[in-house]
Amino acid sequence: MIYFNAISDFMDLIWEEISVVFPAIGGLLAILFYPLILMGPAVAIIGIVLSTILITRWLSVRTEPERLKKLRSDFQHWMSVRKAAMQASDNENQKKINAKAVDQSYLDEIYVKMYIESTCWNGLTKGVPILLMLHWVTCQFNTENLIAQYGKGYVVKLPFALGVSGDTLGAFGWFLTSLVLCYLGLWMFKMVKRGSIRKIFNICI
Amino acid sequence: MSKKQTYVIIFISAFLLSFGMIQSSPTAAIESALAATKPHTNISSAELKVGDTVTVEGQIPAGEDLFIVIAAQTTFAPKDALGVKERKRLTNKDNIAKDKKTKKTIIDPATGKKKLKWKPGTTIPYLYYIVTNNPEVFGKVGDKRYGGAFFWKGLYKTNMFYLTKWNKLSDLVKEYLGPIKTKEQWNFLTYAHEKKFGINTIGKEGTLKGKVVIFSRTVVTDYNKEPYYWNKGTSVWLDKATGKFKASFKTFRHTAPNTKFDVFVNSQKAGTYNLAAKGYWLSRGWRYMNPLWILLGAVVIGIWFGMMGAGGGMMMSAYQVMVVHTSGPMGINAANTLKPSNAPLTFFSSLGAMYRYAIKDRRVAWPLGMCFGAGIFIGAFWIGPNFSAKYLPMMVYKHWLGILTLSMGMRLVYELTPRVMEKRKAIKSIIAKFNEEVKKAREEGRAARMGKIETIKGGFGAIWDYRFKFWGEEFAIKPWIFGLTGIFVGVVAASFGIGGGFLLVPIMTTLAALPMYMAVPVSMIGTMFSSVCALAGYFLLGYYPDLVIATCIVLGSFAGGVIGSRIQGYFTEKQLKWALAILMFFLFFRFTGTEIWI
Repeated sequence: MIYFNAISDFMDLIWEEISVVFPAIGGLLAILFYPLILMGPAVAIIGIVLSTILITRWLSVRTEPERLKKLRSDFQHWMSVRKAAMQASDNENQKKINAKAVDQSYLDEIYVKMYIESTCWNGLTKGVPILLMLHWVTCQFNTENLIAQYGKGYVVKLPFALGVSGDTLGAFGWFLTSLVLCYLGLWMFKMVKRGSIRKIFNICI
Repeated sequence: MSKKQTYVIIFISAFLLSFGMIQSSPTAAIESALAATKPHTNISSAELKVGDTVTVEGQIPAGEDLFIVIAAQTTFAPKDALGVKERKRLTNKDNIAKDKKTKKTIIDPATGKKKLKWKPGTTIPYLYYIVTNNPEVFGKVGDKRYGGAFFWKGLYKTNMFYLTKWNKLSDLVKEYLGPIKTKEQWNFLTYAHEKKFGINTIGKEGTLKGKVVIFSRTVVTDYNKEPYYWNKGTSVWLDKATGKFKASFKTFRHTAPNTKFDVFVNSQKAGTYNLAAKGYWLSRGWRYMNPLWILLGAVVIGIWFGMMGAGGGMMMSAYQVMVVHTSGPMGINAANTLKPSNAPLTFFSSLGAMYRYAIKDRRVAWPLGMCFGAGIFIGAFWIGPNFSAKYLPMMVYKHWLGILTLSMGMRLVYELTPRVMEKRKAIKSIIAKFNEEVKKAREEGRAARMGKIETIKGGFGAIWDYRFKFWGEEFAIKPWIFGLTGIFVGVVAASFGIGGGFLLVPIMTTLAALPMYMAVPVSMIGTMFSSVCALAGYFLLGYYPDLVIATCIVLGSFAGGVIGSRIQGYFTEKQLKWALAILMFFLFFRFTGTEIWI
């Protein structure tokens, strides 16, 4: 118990040191996004979300670990093994048995490893920055600040009532909505840029 | 002057003197007259930190019992409950009086309407204690069975202090209750301190036996005289002959920061003290906890997830229940903050991966994914949050989480049976013969790109019958069946704040016989839908996550996942599965209240 208390005190000390940094970062973000903040909370939040997504994408691509790359190449290798296994027989049932054998003994395992690795890396490079920004946005655009800065206690007024919060959306709700809209927008943009919007329909149907 | 005349003069002088005193300073005279009956009290400090001990000492009229009421100035009324489901339950269900024997609703003969134990506007202090040398006047110590889930309720026996009915309180005692003045208030106070839903929704202070919350302390007395677990941290000394007293009381460690308390000593207001924060306050988790601890715990779970590759969301839910003790703000049941706080983990776990495998590699059978998605949308957005917020408060939530962990544990044990292990070994031997062929294929440059799904039978009819080829192998599935299954998965995922991947993948690998690398991308669509829909559903109901908890969980678990996947090679599959199975069984016994000590 004595050791636990000592560790706990030590952790508190570290947290005190760390927590000093957060307001400074918050202040820096407020300066960085100042031009957006001037344009109103709704536009500001969309802008913040978009820039966060773009930064996280860059971060995720730039920092991809070697292990993940290796797992991808292993996966490709075992995929080709699977193909070869299927070509080894003319019998349809035997083909299936062969494919299943590859799946169950190697491919599935490698795939799960690859999935975990990419999930964790994506979570770190995308999830954490987005959640931290969400936290900052909800503090920056809380009801009191919104009233003081913009004269209204909400970010967006909807033409219809939505849940218990009525026909208004606060910073939290608008951030999540913007996140979904931005991801969809970026996906559509990419599809259009690649040459044909038909690809979207091809995938869906 | 005769002796008689002298007495008359003294009497008249004394009368005139006292009359003059009253005329000149009436309040001073009343005060001096009351001084003999008013308790003299002193509170140790007006500024304390949560978890500190507050000491009240002074003097009350000799011969009287001591009744110190400590009541938070922050009050709570059922109609003000932040959560819509909690409000409904507190104002329209739990407050309806029922006959103890027949369990039938009692109708008030005067109004012809249902008899209510308290009204929607009945206000009580959010935290309320009575420190006394004579607790018997407020209730009695009785047996309490605890532990065990709803199917083996009451495994263990202990004591608890039951508050008596309002009608049984003496009129004098009723005067001593401070801000509690009416029968409705007393009824609501009893509910808030004795019923699990009340404890987890209002005060959030549970008096524990082992790891099980029995009730919330209200009436406490000297621990040395009555060494019951709820009296720990309380000392009461009273000298009845002189009326001098000294009482110490340990404040609740997780009292909201800057909560002011009024102190009443034998009905007289004796003063006020403020409880300041101590440590980092989780504004929605409603606890003091250093976020580094949450992060550290999440890293450990992440390592575990990285090694095992399963059950991340479920383990994190368990972690929140057991270690973080996510409680939710006043007026929101603990479970309704825990679930949305867990959802970001599953959301981000699917976000990046889904983009790569679904859009870039095109390894998603879209009709299947969309049918799953539609079903999950219905389950996770409409049914799940509503169902869960209403029917899965913390206590029930724990029991069902226990059942989920049991099912996972059993599945793991099945996978560890010799038959299944042998089968797996046999399959592995088949592969050896292909290695040579592959080597050749690679040398000849035949190692082609990764496979993509080629639709054989698509269009809108694919909802009923979808056929596709993947690496030359043909699959035929009926996506609508998965749509229906998705509803169930969505309800489960949203109800527990988990992704549902542990259900989706086995469904696809067993029902549709899809290989893992095709099942996982589809399951990611499902997980994505379930977490987004669950978050949106909870958001619309007014249940928000604690962003600090959510961030720490996401950061810790993914960082741990990266570590875990690297150290996985040091353990055999069998060892890891056994370890996970044991952990799952432990969680089952814990959540069902069978194991209550560790």
